[in-house]
Amino acid sequence: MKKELMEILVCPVCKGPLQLDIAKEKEGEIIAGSLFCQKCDHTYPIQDAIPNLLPPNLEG
Amino acid sequence: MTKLKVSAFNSMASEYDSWFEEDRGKLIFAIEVQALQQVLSPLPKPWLEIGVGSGRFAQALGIENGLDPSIELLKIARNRGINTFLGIGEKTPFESETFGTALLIITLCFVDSSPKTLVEANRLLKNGGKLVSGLVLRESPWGEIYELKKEIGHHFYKHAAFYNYAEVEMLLTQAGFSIEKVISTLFQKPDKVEHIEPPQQGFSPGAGFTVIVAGKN
Repeated sequence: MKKELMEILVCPVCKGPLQLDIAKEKEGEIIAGSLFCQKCDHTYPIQDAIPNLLPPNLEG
Repeated sequence: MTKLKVSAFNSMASEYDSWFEEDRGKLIFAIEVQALQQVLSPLPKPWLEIGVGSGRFAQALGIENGLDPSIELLKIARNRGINTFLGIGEKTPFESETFGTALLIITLCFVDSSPKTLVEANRLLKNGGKLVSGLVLRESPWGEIYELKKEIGHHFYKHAAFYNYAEVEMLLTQAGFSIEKVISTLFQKPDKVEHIEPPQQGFSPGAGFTVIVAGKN
C-alpha cells in the first residue's frame, strides 16, 4: 500500500480516522503494519502490502 | 458479502482468473472492455472499481484503485499494478467525496446489499461524479443462462442475484443517481460467441452485457 493512500482511508465502520503503524516498508510502500481506529478500538492489519479493511464481523 | 461467498472466490481465485485466458473468455472480455472504453475516457478521475476481483478490467481500463473482499483475487490484482484494498462495497474504507468515478463491473449481482452498495458509492463520489455499472441483466439470453447456472448450484453464480433493467434503474434512482448513458453489447448467443462486435447505444434486452453511466445527483 502506497503511503500517500492514507489520505483517503477511514474506518469502514465509523468512517473515523485511522492511525498508521508501519512494521515493514519498501520504496515508499507499506508492506506490513496496521491501521487502528480509536473510536471502534479495532486494529486493521496490513499484510503483503494489502490493507485488510473488512468490517470486524467479516474478518476470517 | 458473507464469509461463504468470500471463501468461494478465495478458493477458486486461479480458476476464476484463468477463464480470461481461454479463447471464449478472451473474446467476451474484449467485447465487454470495448463497451466500457466507449464511455470511460471523459469520466472524472480518480477511479475506483468496487469488486475489482483479479484486476483484469482495472488493468485493461486504467482503473487505479480496487476494492474487493477476496484476498486471493486482490493479490493477483496487486501484481497487475492496482492499488488494492480488502473490503466490501456496503462499508468501504474511503473518505466521502474521494473519487471522480466508481465502477461496478459484474459486481452488483454479487454484493449482499445492492441498495447499501449504491448509497455507499454515492457517498464516495465527488460532486459531478459518475457511477459506471457493467451488468448481465436478467431479461437477456445471458441472464437466463446464468439464472439456470445459479439454480443448479454453480460455485460462483449460486451466490448471484441478477436484476432486470427496471430494477437497476430503480436502485440507482433510490441511491441518488440519474442514468445518463446506456451501452449494450454481446448480442451473440451464449453458446455461439465467435467474433468481436461493436457496442450499440441504448438499452436492449437482447444484449448480454449492458453498461450504465449514472451521475450523482
